[in-house]
Amino acid sequence: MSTPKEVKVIQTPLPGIGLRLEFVTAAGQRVGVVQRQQGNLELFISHADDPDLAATSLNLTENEVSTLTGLLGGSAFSHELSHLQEAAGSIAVDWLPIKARTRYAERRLGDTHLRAHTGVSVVAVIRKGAAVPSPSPEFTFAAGDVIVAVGTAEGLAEAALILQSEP
Amino acid sequence: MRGALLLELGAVMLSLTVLARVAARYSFSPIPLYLGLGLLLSEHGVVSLDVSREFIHAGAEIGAILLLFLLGVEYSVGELAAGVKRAPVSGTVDFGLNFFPGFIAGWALGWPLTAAFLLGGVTYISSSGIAAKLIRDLGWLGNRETPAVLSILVIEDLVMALYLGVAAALVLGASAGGIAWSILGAVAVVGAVLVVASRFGGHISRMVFGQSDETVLLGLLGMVLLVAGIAEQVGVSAAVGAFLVGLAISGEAARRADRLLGPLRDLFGAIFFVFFGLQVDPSTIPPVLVPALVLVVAAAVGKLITGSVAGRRIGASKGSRLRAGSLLIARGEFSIIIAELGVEAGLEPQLAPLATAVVFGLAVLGPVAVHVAGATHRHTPSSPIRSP
Repeated sequence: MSTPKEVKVIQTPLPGIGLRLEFVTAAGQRVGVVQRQQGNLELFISHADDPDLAATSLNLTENEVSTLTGLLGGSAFSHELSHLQEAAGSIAVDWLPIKARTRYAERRLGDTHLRAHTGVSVVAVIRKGAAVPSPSPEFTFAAGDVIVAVGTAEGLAEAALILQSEP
Repeated sequence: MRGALLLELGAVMLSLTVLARVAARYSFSPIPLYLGLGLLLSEHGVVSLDVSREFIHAGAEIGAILLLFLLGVEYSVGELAAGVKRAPVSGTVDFGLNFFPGFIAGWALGWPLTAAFLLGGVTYISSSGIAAKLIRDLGWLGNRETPAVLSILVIEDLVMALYLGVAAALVLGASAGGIAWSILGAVAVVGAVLVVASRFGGHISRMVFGQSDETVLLGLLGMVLLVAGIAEQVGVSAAVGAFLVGLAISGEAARRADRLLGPLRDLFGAIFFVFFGLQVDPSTIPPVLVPALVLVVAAAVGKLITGSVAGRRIGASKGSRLRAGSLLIARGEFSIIIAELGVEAGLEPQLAPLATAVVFGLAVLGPVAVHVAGATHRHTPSSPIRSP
């Protein structure tokens, strides 16, 4: 996380579509992702000759995103945190409880589709005072767990709503 | 004859399918083809529809309402405000360069001022449907100019909501007091909807959560039609009412509304274009071809300049600015909705053929220009990115 030269991530809202996060590589190409409101993620890399043109754009599913994150080496946890630092203005952390007799108590993290529906990332789950960092989609919730989630204020509010829904 | 209605509708739908496929095959918008089909089927056209006209008329009204409703659904109130704040200069340039060609042309042709005002709306508003589809299909979400283009489209959509309110009042032939009343009404409705949206948005979302698709579909459709109908009764345009209801819906509920009502919008939207074409006598088109051509050129140049201005403000390269302008060239669904206001009221016989020809030209030219602009990227070093 502590690189000699901090990479600056630029955030641009795309009205009606979602949010674009991008940075410029040392070689001068733009690389970024578009978080669609529908939940899917699009990765783009600019053209070698024309940095203003997206030469490659890939639609990625949630599983593909976590696979790619894994391939790139870092844990999802540290990536989320570095995002957090750069976009501190609009990104917030929230603690969301899993209450008994709600829809997702006893169900898996993947079943909530939180990232897809709200753009919120679950960076850890706190269970009985201990934190489980970067829980996998297979992680099964128990009543009393507290989710540590990162996202926009809007996304977090929606996530809270989803987690409160009844079975 | 029993069954004739089904026969006619079936034939119209199948023709639309063929046209949609042709358009998709050559990656351009089906809107001009739908309009063309309407022309062929009009009273003086090749084949005349008789029994299904009324159904198509009703379907067209629903189509126009759904187009505006789902446009509103796409945006949240916050996004609209942010969009306007981000590109006020380009938005103003856009209006100046693209409203006045239509308005002046109408005036020069000796039309009533209201009809000229509507023609200004026809040339002003870009087709956000066509632009969004081009951006998606070409994988241009990552392009430098994309946020600027989207901001301009947001401003246009917002201006259109106000514009439709004023236009509806003008068409009703209201006195100055009547227009003021209508605008006041629109502002009151907008205010009420925004308050409801920010206060009860969560409740609406929750309401939509647990229900079955069927309940949500019927509930949303009923609510939109009812509000649109009320809006029309009080002299605010039905389309504006639908747009506002759409704005009030956000988050998960918006995604669900889009998924459930999107297919209905596509169906009735297509019928809307056919219906507009139906009202035009094909023999009235050749006499307006010269003004139409002038307007197509002026309106295309107007958008290219708009794109260039918007691009320059975010430090985009030449190629990027060209792409921005060309994305804005296509006019489509909203231009036709505006023209329909005047056609329905019988304001000016030349409005329908001229609007048809202009939209036809620009809806074809826009995507072509975008493909050309996309093919002409060169080595163009550009300035560092910065948030707009």
